[in-house]
Amino acid sequence: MNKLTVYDEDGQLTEVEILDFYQLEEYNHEYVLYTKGEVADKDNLYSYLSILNQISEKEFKFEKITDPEEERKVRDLMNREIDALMNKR
Amino acid sequence: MYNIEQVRILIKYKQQQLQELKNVSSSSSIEIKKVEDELKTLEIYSVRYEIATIIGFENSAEYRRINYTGIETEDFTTMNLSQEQLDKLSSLTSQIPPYNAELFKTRLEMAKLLKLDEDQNLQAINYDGIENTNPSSMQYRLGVNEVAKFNSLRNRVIILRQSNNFKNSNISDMAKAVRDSLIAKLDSMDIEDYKKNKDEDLETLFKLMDLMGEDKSFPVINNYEFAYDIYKKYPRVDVKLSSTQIIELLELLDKDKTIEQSKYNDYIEIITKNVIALLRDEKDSDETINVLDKINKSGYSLRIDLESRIIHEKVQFNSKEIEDIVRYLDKNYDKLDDKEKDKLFRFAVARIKSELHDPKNADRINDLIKEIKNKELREKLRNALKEREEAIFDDQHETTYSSLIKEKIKKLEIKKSRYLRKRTGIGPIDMMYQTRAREIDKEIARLRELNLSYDDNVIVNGLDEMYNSRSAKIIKIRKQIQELEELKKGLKTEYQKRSIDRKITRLKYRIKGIQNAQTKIEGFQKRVMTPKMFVEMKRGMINRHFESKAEVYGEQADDLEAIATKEREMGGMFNKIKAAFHEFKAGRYRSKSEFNRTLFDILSRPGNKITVTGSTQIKTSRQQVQALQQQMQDQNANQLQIAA
Repeated sequence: MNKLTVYDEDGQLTEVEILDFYQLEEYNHEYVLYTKGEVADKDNLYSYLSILNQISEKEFKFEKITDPEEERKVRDLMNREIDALMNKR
Repeated sequence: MYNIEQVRILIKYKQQQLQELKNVSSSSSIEIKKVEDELKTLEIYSVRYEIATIIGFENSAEYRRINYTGIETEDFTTMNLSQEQLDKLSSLTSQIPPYNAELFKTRLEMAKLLKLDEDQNLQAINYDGIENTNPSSMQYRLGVNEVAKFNSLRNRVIILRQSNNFKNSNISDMAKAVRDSLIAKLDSMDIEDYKKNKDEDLETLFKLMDLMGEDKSFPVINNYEFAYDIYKKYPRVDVKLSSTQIIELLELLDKDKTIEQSKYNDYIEIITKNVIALLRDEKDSDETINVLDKINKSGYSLRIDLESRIIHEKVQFNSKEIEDIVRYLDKNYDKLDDKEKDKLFRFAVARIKSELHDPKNADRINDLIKEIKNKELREKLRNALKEREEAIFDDQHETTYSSLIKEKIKKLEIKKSRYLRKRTGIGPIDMMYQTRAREIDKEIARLRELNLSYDDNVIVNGLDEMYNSRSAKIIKIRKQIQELEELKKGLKTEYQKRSIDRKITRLKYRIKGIQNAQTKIEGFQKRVMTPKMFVEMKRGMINRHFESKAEVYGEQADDLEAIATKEREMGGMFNKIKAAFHEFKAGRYRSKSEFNRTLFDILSRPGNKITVTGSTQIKTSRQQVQALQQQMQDQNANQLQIAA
C-alpha cells in the first residue's frame, strides 16, 4: 500500500494513501490525488486533490488549489487519465 | 594555539586602542587599566617568545611553558649558549616583571595540593585563578593541614596580585574580542565611509582571522560593501546579508550601470546565495516577501541575471512578463545600449522558443510579433524564431487540408492563365510558356486527384506518423550512443575504444539515413501542400504525438538536470518532483506506474515532513480508486500519461 504519514490541517499526524500524480504546465504546478479511505456513499469514496509543493529537500506541502479555472483543468485532466486507465483494464 | 604573528597584530591593535582611550577624556580608568593589562600580557608573551627562540624551545609542551611557567626563570647558563646570547637573554628577562613566575609557582603548589594534573590544567591554574577554588570541597578530600596550607598559599597569591596590580589576560579570548570588535566597527560604517576608511582595519581583521585559523563565520552583515570584501576574501563562506542591505544592493545594481562586470557578478552571487537561503529557511517571513517584491520590481536586466540563478516560481518570469520584455524592447529600442538590448533580446527569444514547445502558444506569440512597431526588432525576432519551425507567422490559419488544396489550385490557375496570355510572337518562347502552362495543368490534376482520393486526416496523420516513428527511432539510437560513450570511458585498451568508436560511427550513419528519410517525407509533404498547410501540419505533428514531444522534453529534462546539479552545488533548492515530471515526459520511465513509484519514493523518504494545508474533496467511485491503487503498485504496466 502506498501510505504516507502527513500532518493534517489541524497539525495532527494522519495516514493517507497516494493514488496518482498530475501536472499542469501552464500553472507550473504538480498535483497529488490521495484518499483517507472515507466512505462517501455505497459506491463512492472521498478522495482529495492538492497542489504538491516541494519546499525544501525534505519538506513538502499539499496545498489547496485556489484558482477555480485551475481546479477545473486539473479535474478534467484527472478524469481523462482515470478514463484512459479504466479503458485499459 | 595563537602564534607570535597574531600576538604582534594584537599588540599593534591594543597600542592604538590605548592611545584612543587616553585621547578621549570620558574614558574610564578601569577601561584604560584593562587595555594596559592586555597589552602587558601580550608584550610579556612576545619577550618570552624571543627568549624561547634563543634557547630553542620548539615542542608544544615547552612552548606552553614559555607563557605559563615563566621561561625567564630557567637557568640559561646550563644551556650551552654564547655570551652574546646570554647577554641578550639577560636584557630580555629584565623586561618581565618577576612576580608572574612567582605567581605561577605559588598557584602550581596549590594545584598539587588539589592533585590537579599540571599539563591538563595549566590554563585553569594560572588564568582562571585556582585561588578561587574551595579546598574544603569533598571532591578534593583534603585533610585539615592541607586546607590550611592551601589557604596560606591563597593569601600569598592575593598579596602578589595586589602588590603588582596586574591581571594576566587570555590571548585567545583577546584575539576573538578584537576580531569581533573589528567586524562590528566595519559593519557599522556607512557605505561611503567604509570605502574611504576600511583598508587598515580590514587588513588587520583578515590577517588576524587567517592566523586564528578557525572556521570563518560572520554575523548578519549590514554593510553590503563589507559583505563583498568578505566574499572576495573567503568565497566559500556564506555571508548573510540583512534583508534591507539586499534591497539596497538590488537598488544599486539596478541604477548604477558603471559597476565593473566582475564586481557586478560577485554582487549577484552574494544576492543569489542570500535569497536562496531566505527562500529555504524563512519562506514566508516579511523580509523574504520584501526582497522578492524588490526583485520583481527591478529592471529586466537585473531580473534576468537573478532568475537564471534562483530557480523559484516567485523569481521566474511568467509568459506575460516575457511579452512585456519584448514590448519594453520595442518601446526603448533606440534608447538602450547594444549590450543591454542584446541581453534582453536573447533572453526573450530563448523563453519564447521554449514556450513554442507548446504549439498552443504560437498564436499568442504571433500576435505579439505583429504588435511590434520597431521594424528592426520585428525582423530580428522573426528570424530568430523562424529557426524553430514551430513558430507560425501567418495571419490566417486555414485548418482544413481541402480548403488549402483548393487555394493552391486557384493560385495555379491564375499562374496558368498568365502564361497563356503571354504571346510574344517568337515561336520558341511562346512554346516554352505553353509547356509551362501544361505542367501547371498536370499539377492541378494531381492536386484534384489528391483532394478526391484522400481524407484530410489520412494525409496529414499518415505523413506525420511516418515522420514521427523515425524521430522515435532516432531518440532510441541517440540513447544507445550515449550508453556506448559511457561504456567507452571505463575501457582501458585502445583496441576496445576503437571498437566502440566504430559502433558509434555506424549508429551515427544510421541516424543520418533516417534523417534523410525524414527529409524525403517532408519533401513529399511540401510538394503536396501549400507552405501554410505545411506549417499547419508541423504544428499537428508536435501536438499529436508523444514521441516527437519526447524529444523536445528530453532536451528540457537535460537542461533541468544541469540546473539541478548547479543548484545542488550551491546548496540551494532543487525540486525533485518537477524534475521527475520532465524525465517522465522525456520518456525515461517505462510506465506511469514506474513514474508514480518514483514520486512516491521521493515523498516517503525517511525524515521527510509533509504538511497538508488544503485540498479539494471529490467523490471517486470504488472501482476507480481500485484501478488507481492497482496502477500505483503495478510497475510493469505500460501506460502513458495523457499529455497535460
